[in-house]
Amino acid sequence: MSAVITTHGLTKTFRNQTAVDSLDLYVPQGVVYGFLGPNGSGKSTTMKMLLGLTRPTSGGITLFDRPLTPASRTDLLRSIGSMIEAPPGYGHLTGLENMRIVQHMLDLADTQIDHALATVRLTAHRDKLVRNYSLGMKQRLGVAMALAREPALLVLDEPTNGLDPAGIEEIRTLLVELASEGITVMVSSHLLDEIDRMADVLGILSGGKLIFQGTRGELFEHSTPDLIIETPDPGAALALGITATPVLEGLRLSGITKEQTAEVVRRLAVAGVPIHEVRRVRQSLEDVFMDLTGRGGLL
Amino acid sequence: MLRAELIKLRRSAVWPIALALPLLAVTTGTINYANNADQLTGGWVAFNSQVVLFYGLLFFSLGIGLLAATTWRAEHRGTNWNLLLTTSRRPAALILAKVAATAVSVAFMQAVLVVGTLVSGAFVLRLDGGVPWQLVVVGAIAIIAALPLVVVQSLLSMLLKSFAAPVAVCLAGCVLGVASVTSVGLRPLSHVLPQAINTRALNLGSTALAGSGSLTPDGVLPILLTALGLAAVCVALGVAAIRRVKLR
Repeated sequence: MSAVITTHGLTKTFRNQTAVDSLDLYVPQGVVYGFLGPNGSGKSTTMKMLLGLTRPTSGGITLFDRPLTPASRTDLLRSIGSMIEAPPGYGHLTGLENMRIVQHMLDLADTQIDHALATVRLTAHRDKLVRNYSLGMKQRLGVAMALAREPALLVLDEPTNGLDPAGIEEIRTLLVELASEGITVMVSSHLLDEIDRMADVLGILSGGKLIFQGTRGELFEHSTPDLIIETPDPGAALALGITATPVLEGLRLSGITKEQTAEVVRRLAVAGVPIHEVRRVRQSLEDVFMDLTGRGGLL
Repeated sequence: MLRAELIKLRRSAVWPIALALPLLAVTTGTINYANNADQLTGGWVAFNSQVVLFYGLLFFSLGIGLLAATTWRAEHRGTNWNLLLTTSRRPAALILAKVAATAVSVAFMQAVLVVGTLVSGAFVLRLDGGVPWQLVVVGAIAIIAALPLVVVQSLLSMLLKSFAAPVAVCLAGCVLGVASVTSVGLRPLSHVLPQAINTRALNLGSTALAGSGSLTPDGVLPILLTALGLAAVCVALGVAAIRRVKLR
């Protein structure tokens, strides 16, 4: 899969503090890339560097196979819609007037504005002053402003920040729809739940460093879920010297590999301990994060 | 780009400022003329001189500072600045559009001054004689003369990202401007200081300020050429500045 964004050793230092440390991002084309990390982990700074709003201290950025430089930036930005830190918008103007500003700044057609408003379902509220919009409507207007240029890449920084669950679901559905249309979406969040079920590829940032990058499946491979052995006689199993914790269904074994699982099952069978079921515990993404970060808590 | 900037002026706070300051000048000028009618016998010329005296020294330039700061304030609130910097427009287009938008509100301020002066002179003071064309010409010249200050204040408001700081700088310039047009020693400064250029332009043909130029090509052209040259230099500096700001 070709990459829309790649970075090599991307670093940003503010005085003595390194906000982003040697980042090697790889954002494939046509995916929703979830950029996760706690507040202050360097997500916004990274996104600003990707848009040329902040100059990297060192390292390089390649967008659409072209290096991002002051000379190429203007041309590259034509294909990139963005919303950084918070949705833009002029409160004293209506939603439509805000969109007209984007239209005139980018020489867009009326149909592009209408389509962007319809995509975020703001057409009915387009003549309302933005200062009277709800937070969710302001976020959607921000997305519409980013979408109006019909970008190939959408960079959204915390687009669900401050939204209620319904608003979060709405944005999530919208971004998945956009990705299905071939738009690459890079979306950041400090909340795991907002990214889960939306992102195809994840990049996890902690303290300015990329501690994981890959698919959800690859992330799960980083962590071995606990094993549950359902048995009506856990005492007999423990008497065999198996290290496990008795639970309601039987036994729970932690950090056990496939080979070790086979060996435990063999020993139980030989000893005549009844086994009703052997299964792995279904892990949440949060459990995996906890494992990944040494249970130090990432989010 | 200019059309985008003009949309931003809708329901903007620039309009009350652009309305209030010239009306204040007309009101004070009218009161002053009415209270000194026995000494001020020059009719329209004397009345207009009273109107533009403080307006030219302070209100007009300060108004430009306020208008530029208000115009830029919308960009510095929230993340609109990011929106501007992620358009694919050249920095020069952005600077020129902002300058033009501020100039539109300055032109409106001048229109209010001229219309207010005419209405007050004709219907409040009931001055004799036809409508003096000089008022309109000086009003238009002042718009061009204001361009350097419009550019400077626009750049300050863009770079400082503050409302008050650029206005304070403008006020300091006004004080220096008053000194330059009233003192022989500082007079050369009045030819390059934007606030002083405004004062000189508005007082063309005035009887209230000693040393005011006349409304002739010899008096007008140096002001216009200096203003246009200075504005061009300031725009060039602004473009260089925004390039540095953009990829900071």
